[in-house]
Amino acid sequence: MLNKDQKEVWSDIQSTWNNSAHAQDINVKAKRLLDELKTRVTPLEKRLIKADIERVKNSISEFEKNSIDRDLKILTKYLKKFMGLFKKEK
Amino acid sequence: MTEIDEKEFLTIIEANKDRIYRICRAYCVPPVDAQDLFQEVIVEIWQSLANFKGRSNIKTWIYRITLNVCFRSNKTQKRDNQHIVRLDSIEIAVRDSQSSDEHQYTMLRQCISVLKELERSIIMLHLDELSYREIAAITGITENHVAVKIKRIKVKLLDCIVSSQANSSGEAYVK
Repeated sequence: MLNKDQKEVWSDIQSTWNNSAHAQDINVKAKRLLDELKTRVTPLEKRLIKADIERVKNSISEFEKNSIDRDLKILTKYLKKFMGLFKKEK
Repeated sequence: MTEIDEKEFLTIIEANKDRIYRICRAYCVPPVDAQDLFQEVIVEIWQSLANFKGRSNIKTWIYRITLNVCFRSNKTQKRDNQHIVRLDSIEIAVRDSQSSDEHQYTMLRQCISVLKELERSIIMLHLDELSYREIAAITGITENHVAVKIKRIKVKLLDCIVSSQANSSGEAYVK
């Protein structure tokens, strides 16, 4: 629990924080903003898409490695079974 | 984005611009200023709005995007110069504020900046009067953990502020 003095300081902190955005006038020109976003964002999107493709590629290769590993284990298991049967027949 | 979505986007920006700017202002590190971060957040919201499924509260979603952009900016800056989209449609003009307000704010910002990354986000969200549940949803920790952390961070922040005030007024600070 905060004591009385700490509560007062906290209340000052709270109002300083709340007023911090009011120190500026943020003027968003709606129509122009939409036009800008539609035209100027493309290079940024390309960069992000490139990064995403890179991530997907990495995930796929990891997935492939795991799949091959799993397939090899299954093949080895069946090969051992087959060899066992072959030995019995001999 | 459809016309309805565009309207929704503009409404979201107008309703949340102050809280977005507050976080950006507290996080910006030169050469990237609060306006750069603010613009980056706007772009991110624009790009992600189509994926917002409404599973979370829009306010929570906006905070998550804002904090992500701010974290990323700080990390990228350490590596190289980041790509910043400049939007001429957003104008941010400094109002004539009382110098004491600015002084208090600078002090608060300095004290927040020495906190750990998670602590910084938690206390900023708490100062923005979000509930423990909302803070937990944004930061990914449990409500109980949020409550415990807030108690500790508050004490740290209060110590730092009181000590800074004492130093600036030339008084000896006795803890």
